[in-house]
Amino acid sequence: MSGALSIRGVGKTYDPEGASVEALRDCSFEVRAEEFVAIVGPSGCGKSTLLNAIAGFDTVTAGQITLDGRLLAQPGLAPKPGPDRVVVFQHGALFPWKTVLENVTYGPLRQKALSREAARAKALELLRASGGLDSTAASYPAQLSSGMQRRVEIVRALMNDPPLLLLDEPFRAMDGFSKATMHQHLLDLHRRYRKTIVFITHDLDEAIYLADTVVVMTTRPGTVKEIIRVGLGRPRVPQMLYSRDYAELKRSAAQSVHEEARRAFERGEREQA
Amino acid sequence: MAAVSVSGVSKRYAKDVLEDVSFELEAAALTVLMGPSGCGKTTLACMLAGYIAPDAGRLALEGRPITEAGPDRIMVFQETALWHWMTVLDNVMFGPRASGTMGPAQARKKALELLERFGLRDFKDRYPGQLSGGMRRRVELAQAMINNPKLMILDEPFRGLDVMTRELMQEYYLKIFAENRMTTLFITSELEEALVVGERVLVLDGTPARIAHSIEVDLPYPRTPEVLASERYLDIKKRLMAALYLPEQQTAQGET
Amino acid sequence: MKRLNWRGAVSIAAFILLWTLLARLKAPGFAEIPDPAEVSRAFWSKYLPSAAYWRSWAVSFERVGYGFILSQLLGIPLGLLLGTRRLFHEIVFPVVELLRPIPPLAWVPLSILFWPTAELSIVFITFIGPFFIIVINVHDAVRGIRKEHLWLARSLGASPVRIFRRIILPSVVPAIAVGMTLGIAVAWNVVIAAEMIASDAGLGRLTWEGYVSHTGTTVIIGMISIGLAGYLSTLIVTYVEKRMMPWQR
Repeated sequence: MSGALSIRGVGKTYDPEGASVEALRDCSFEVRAEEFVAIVGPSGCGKSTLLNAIAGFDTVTAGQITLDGRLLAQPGLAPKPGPDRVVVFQHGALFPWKTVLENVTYGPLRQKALSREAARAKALELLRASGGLDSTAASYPAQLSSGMQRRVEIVRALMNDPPLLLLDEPFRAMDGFSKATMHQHLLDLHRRYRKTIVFITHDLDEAIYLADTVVVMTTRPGTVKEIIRVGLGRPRVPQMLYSRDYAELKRSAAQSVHEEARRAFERGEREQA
Repeated sequence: MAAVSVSGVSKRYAKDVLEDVSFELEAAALTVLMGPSGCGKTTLACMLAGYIAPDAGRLALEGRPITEAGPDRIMVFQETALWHWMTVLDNVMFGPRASGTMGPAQARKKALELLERFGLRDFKDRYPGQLSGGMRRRVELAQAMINNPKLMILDEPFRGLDVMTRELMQEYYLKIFAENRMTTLFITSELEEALVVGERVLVLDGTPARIAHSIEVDLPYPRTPEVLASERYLDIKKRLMAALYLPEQQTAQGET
Repeated sequence: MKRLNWRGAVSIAAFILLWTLLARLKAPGFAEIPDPAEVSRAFWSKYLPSAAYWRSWAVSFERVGYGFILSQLLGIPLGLLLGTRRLFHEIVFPVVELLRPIPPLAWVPLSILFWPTAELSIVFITFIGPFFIIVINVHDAVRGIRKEHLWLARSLGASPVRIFRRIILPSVVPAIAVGMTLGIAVAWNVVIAAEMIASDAGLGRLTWEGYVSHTGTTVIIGMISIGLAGYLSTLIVTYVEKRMMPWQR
């Protein structure tokens, strides 16, 4: 398993009480193994719908999604999430009544994938690698800062050793400083564990800084507007944020993204009135 | 004389500790205040607004000491503080009516004018709960500006909005600022935002917190994509990043 | 157009059927309990046309009405005072906290001893339950007002009176709504018991007399009437609440 993801002609129309809504239309792009892809787009463009389809929480009504050649989604196929592609969400999804260690080892233990000792050892190792979080193993999520909670969730996701890691605007609610630290942390994990990462965000800066490829989506119905290859080298360092290359990348991508954002904003205002 | 002067202010408030904070805000300028979470930016803002008093030091507006809250200094809070049981129009009209500076007809007229300029006239009879985040913020700006305050304090006003709405709001606010030129203190934790809106950036940092850096943002308005890709911009960004993140970079693996 | 809940309708029919069977077959415990058909017959022929029956309704409603409305008229201002004035709070709140845990029904004997008439003693009971509920709800709501709401008003130059009228009062309206809903339920609970003990009229008394005279139909009709009365009162209160909060749509 190496984590090569293929999205081909994916469409999703759903039907709440008879009013058919086309969330996605003819989305296609390829993700190489170990690549970091960021999907950017305005609210309502279907990014989360696409992520849910990849993760196996929802179906598609057109097209195909495959992972390493294995079929994940196709019209008529029932959604089936699996430990090979794990999601980290925007808002904490840790069990508040379990300790950090219990949260992290929950998955593998329940699936009987690891013995208690092995799960514990692996958890502690991953937590330690995430900035010394092993010291919080016996704490409860409410006792940790939001950044730490997010890191614990990422560790939880990594416990299953999935080839594909999906993140849905995980840092959105955080302030600029915490976000910057989380970016470095995620980049560090990507380098160390060589996972394929699909990262959803509104923030173009975040997308360019983290990813190898940025997929720009249009507003509803969502389709791929542009695919941008980020030519900045790795490892990424904050100094790149004020480099000429970065500024140029941002400038050319921004126009595309802002067009769609403006369209979505205007539609939103019209819908409110 | 500077519009606002803060000298030797110290305060211990909940978890914030400020010590010997001093700075000045130039009249008609937009000064940004940045600093890590929980270092006391909001406490400082509340002292400027007159809601809390410093333990030591002095805050003054146009030479006169700030001792209590008043319509010459209005703050827009981090979480929307619109009164959800009043309509948009009533919220905006509240200031002039409460301070007695306008009669009901005049206040209504002025409020409608402002709402028209902010593109919200059609929503005047709606309740805040029925508006989107960006719209609520615009109402709050109207609610503050109708009073023509000498100092506007914005405490992370666009936090929580999605990045697209945020950028549109920044553009929006700068347009208004260009017309009104009210002395403004703009608090944010987003570096890009600071460079898009600010004429000067003050960095509050340390434990106890004090003003660690002051960086001039010598860029023209409007800050178009061209301006934001210029050499000068990149240089300022580099200096600001160094001022903000140097301690963070060294402990990239540490506490968030 | 709501879709008919078939499952619900079937289970109600099953309930009535079961009751009929148990009563007709004289199952243990059902010796004196009539079946639904008997209850229905008795209601239509004896109670519906009876002035005495509808007077029981009026009497109970009156008692609840007086007690409840009085509790709100006195309780809301008291809650506001306790929430806004520190000195008042320090003096009065301890007494409130001392008396509050006493359940309304426990007041019945004292109430009978104290008040000159049975009517007054019952109204006192329907008053005391909702009273403490509303005082606490309003008090907590005032304490819980977001400080930014008050700060902004101060900055905008509002006088304390204006702040009270336009910020504090509307802020506590949701808590008043909650207090009223809880209060009306408590009032009905206690009036029934109080009537059983202290009075010769009202729906509670009616039910009690049914028991004393071994008339099962009376007992059941009494119960259903009380349930209906409580439900109607709640509808009225809910309507008032909706009118109080136009911003919650």
